[in-house]
Amino acid sequence: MSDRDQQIRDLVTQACQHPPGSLLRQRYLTQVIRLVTPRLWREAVPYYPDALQKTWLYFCKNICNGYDPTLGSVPTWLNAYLKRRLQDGYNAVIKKTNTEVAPVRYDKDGEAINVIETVPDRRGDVEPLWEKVRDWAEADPTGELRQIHIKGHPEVNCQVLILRRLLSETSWQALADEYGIAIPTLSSFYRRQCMPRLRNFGETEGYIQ
Amino acid sequence: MTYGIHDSGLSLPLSLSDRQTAQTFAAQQPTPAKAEQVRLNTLAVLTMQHYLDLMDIPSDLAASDSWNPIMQVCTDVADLELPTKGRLECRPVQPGAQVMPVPPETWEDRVGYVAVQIDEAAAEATILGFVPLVSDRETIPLSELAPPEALLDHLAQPLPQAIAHLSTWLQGAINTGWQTLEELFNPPQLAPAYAFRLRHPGNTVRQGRRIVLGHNQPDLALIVEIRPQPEQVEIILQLHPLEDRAQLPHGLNLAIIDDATATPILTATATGTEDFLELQLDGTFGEQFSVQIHYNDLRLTQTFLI
Repeated sequence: MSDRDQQIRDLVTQACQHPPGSLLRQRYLTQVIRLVTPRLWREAVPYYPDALQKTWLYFCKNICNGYDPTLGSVPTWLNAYLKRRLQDGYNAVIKKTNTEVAPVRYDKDGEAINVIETVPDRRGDVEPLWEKVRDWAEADPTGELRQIHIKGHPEVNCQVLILRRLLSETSWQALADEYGIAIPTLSSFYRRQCMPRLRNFGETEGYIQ
Repeated sequence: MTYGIHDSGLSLPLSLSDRQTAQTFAAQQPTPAKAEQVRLNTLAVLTMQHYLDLMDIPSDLAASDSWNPIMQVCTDVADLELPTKGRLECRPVQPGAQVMPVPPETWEDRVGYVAVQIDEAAAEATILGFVPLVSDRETIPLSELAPPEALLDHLAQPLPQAIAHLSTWLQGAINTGWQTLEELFNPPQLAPAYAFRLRHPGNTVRQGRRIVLGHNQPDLALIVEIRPQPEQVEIILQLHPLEDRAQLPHGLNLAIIDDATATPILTATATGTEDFLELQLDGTFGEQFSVQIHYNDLRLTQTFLI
């Protein structure tokens, strides 16, 4: 076993002396991930990142109870798992290709018609969310958004800030220059007074569970 | 030179479902600029969620503003809610970037900030580093970030909650991150005795918490003393250096902020000769106020609910 493999194995031993979720275990496992990464099998296939993500999860959950040092190094153990996940990924692609044919229907004469399903374009039907926010802020039915303002600056209220900051369009610097109020004061007010009202609006309108 | 920070970075894969989620959120945005912002923010948040999952640290995407369609459209936030810890801001950076951008709407109410380098071509994200505070700056040089392990260290500490509930103190509770003066000033000779003689012993409750200034300055102790009255609560705030015989640095400012208007109602500034700063106010149950400590570009806020 190489020096690097021994170092990795020592770190794993250290990590496993501490319970899951403990700081020391987290630190050791993070270091092992760094050291093992360059030793992992690489393949330029689209499902590689998914297979690797599963491998890291497997590593962290099983290194302390599923890895047998007598059977080989940590990278060897992980590569075996990674390659099995890559095989799963490959199999899924093959299966998808084989079943992805246009559905066939038969008309009254027994002739096959190729039916290509189209997803109706619904984009035009529903008003975009940002427009709903804009309409609500402009209407301000209870007057609340206009009432809440920075002390001494009734013109800097939640209605104005929500509309100006919609789509992150107006920069904080531009607002600070225009009103002569420091950015920390503006953003602090926006976060404490305006953002909760935005969240509230979202909840009452059913956009957020 | 960002060679150092990339050495200690941690690279993790961006799965197909990660990229699809990011694309779905981006597709709901009306402008290309917003779509790009939301897509990258989402990838950074997902990367941190996966990493924290590997580390057995629970996270709650559904409770995060970054997962909220209204907040996505109205603000530039990439937060990840960590139950019992707070919100972690996960800022995306491009390969080759020298700074981490930090929008002002994320300057408060964050347990810390991570820079996550997104390399979409390689379907890979790298956690570059962590910083617990940004001090009212819109960009943080990557060279100021500590390695990702610093995030683990920070989360492992008992962190004070964003809002301290003073009424629970009257029932004898000690909130996480707060301590009795005996514990805070340890060894006891650090405690300036004259300042701590209780003015009204009996129904006064007092707790303190450590404030780290950095900048080679001694740590501070924020002491809060509350005394309930029939109609209101008397509150005394004091700011002391935690080092023996130290003075508060010149320019250190202590302020009480009215949360309803985000403006200061009382403030005191150290001239370099004071042993401590003190502010008093009377409040009623249910009221909320914040205490801000300002030193150079560092701004710390502690919110109280009476």
